[in-house]
Amino acid sequence: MVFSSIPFLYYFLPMVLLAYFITPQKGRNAVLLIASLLFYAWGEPVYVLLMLFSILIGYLAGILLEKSMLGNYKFLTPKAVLSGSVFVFAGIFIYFKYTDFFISNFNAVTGLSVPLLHILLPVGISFYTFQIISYLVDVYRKEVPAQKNFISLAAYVAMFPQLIAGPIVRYASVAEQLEKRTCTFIMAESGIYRFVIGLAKKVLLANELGALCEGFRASGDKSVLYYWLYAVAFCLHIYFDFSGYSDMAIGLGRILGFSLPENFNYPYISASITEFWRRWHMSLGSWFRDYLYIPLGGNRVPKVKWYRNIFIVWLFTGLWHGASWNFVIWGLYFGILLVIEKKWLLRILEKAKGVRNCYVLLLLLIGFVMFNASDMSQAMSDIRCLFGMGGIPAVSAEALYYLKSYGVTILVSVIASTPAMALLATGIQQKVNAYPVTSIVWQVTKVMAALALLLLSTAYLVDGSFNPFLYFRF
Amino acid sequence: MSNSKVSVCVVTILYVVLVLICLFRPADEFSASERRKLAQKPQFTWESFTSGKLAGEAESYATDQFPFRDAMRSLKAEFSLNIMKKADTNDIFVKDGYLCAMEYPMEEDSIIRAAKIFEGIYEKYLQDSEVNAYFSVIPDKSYFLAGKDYLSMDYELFFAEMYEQTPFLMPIPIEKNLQLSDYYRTDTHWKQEEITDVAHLLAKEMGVQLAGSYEVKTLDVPFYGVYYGQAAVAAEPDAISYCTNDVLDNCTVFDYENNKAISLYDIEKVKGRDPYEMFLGGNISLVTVTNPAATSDKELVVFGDSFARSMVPLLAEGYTKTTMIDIRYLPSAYIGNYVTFSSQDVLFLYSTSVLNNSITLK
Repeated sequence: MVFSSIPFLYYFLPMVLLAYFITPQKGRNAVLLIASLLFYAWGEPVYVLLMLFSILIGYLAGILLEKSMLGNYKFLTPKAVLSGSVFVFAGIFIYFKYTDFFISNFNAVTGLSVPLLHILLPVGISFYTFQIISYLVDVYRKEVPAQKNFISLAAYVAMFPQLIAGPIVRYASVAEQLEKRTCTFIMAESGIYRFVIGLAKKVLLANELGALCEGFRASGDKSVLYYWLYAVAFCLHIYFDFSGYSDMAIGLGRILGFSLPENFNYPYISASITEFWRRWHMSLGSWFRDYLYIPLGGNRVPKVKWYRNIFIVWLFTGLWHGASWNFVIWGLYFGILLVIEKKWLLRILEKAKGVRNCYVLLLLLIGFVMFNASDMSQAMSDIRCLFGMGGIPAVSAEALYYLKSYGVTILVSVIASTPAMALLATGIQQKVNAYPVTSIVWQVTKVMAALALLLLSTAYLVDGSFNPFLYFRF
Repeated sequence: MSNSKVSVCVVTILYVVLVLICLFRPADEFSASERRKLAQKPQFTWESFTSGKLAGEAESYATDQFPFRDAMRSLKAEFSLNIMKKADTNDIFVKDGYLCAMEYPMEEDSIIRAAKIFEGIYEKYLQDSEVNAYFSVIPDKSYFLAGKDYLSMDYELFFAEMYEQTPFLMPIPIEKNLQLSDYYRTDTHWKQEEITDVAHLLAKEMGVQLAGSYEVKTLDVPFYGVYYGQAAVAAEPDAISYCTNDVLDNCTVFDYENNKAISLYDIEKVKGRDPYEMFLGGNISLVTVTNPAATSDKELVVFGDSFARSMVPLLAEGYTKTTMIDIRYLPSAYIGNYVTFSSQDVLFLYSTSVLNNSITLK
């Protein structure tokens, strides 16, 4: 089930909220778990068993890990338990996500034709597997005690607001809330606003930009201008698609009494690629930092090893996004850019104020064109065409038409991808708070705006427009 | 009460009202504006659940049965066109008060496919007979409206290619005899009362004279065309009219698909799903019009689409028998079971919309 759908918004969500809030505190994790399993099973009824199996293994491994740390088992060291369980999760993850990728590469190298298994990727496996692994590592590091209550752990892993597209929630950050959380009107209000803003970002902007990108792919009238239009549209599309989903997840979390981590912080205003990755998919970045980069030694190692660590992290970041060479190259592309920045460029960029944003946006544009290609040859062809080396005209009728037709959508998206609107809202809030009347007017305006956005998004959904979630495939 | 409490309560109350309407509102069976059946509540079975079919059906049901569906669709269309300044909504654009589908791009494969089907008909039924075979392409509204503001195919190229691919048919270009006002504002079709000059041209090219004076009767029913439903924008309805005279009144019409006599204009169908189906019985595969007072002793066979249905009554005036064959519903391989070709005039009369999407032709 997806958040931006009529069944979720007007059937599933109200039922779940009703059941959740009429249930006493101690039963709410069970309600949340049941709701999450239904949410997952709605589109993936078979793979719900795989998720439950993963949770069970994680639950048992956590307890075993804690007991082994107390010296309860002579031959079972904590390291062995952790390694074994991570091995199991990595195995499941690799089997479902990469088997066909390995087979096709094996076939390409050996000339054999081992048949592909065509394994259907379980939705959200990349997110919940990483959450379970982080839980086990945190228990191993004694940062959190093992969760003794299966329902609580299962509610954490399967929590429907973040189950299928993140943010990747660390167990440590919600451990206390799983035991006891308070739902306040202030949290609910901010949760509602956040959810509606996320929904509008997804439905009114991301879906529209996605339709433009789909139209581009199907077009027989491509031109350099059309490639640029597509590249810009895709950069905005993926941002609003993913950050819209994260906003909805965070908003739902707040309504339910959870504080889920932020996942985006206006990444397109970054002054360097290094900064971009501190603002984009922050929960994944911090996961790789804490569970891969730092255990490898981080930057407290000789330079050669430091660079190696960076490349390993970015190789895995690329692979996490998809089992295809263009994702691997995409990851390494950012790895190289980060190394170049760390070694030379950051110092120059600090002084080049006007140019650095253009530099970042251009490199991101190329990166996302690569990201959205079906394979490496299409990625290279797209990049060539982007720079006028594809033997296509500079301008085409279709490009001009869609530029005109999507001009306002793109303009609104560009503005919405900066903190301008949030700063404006904060500024108004501070000013109106000084007087009771203006404060009430502002409050009414916010409520009306939220209802208007909900209504508009619903109208778009009712008309059945383009509505896939990009990050479902990861 | 704190501000947050009030805000949450207001939003919750309105949300709950909408949810309750969703849950308890009786389901509609049919959408008049979209001219389609709406999805009904899916039946839960374990198999449909595990296969994911239930999720898809429930999604269709929830979306189709959403309260105030037409108003919601209009809200989306108006916001999209007027606030977000999209040039079209659901590939329909609004210009000079007309709703128009973008016929774009030109599908070469479709042209070739249509030409191959016509060639098959010609080789199987016509080439060894003494028929005279003609071909006219009817431009869709985009031909007049798109200009440089909207995407449209190169119509001159389209006409040239279509006629070039069908050298066995004698072309009768009609686009110069048409203008935008000959078409309905909210529908794809032309108006019968505005195409009498085209009927005269076709008849003349085929060597037949039409008397050509008609009484135009306008029906007192608002005609919301197909684009009205697709675009979901606010638009005034059209008025649907038809041409008649004593000769046409005395014609007999037979529907071979349902094996019954029907009337030239079925006024009851104006109240139905598609008012344009009033012409010659609507989407019927094979119809004949017999005219005891024809101006010639010739017979005519028309291969055509829904545009041709409103043209056939006008042409029927000049022929003793006019047969209308719609190969979207009657595969061309079976035509020989119903029609014997000898010395008739044969007219292929198709709109650019059908020819550019010829997958529907059989």
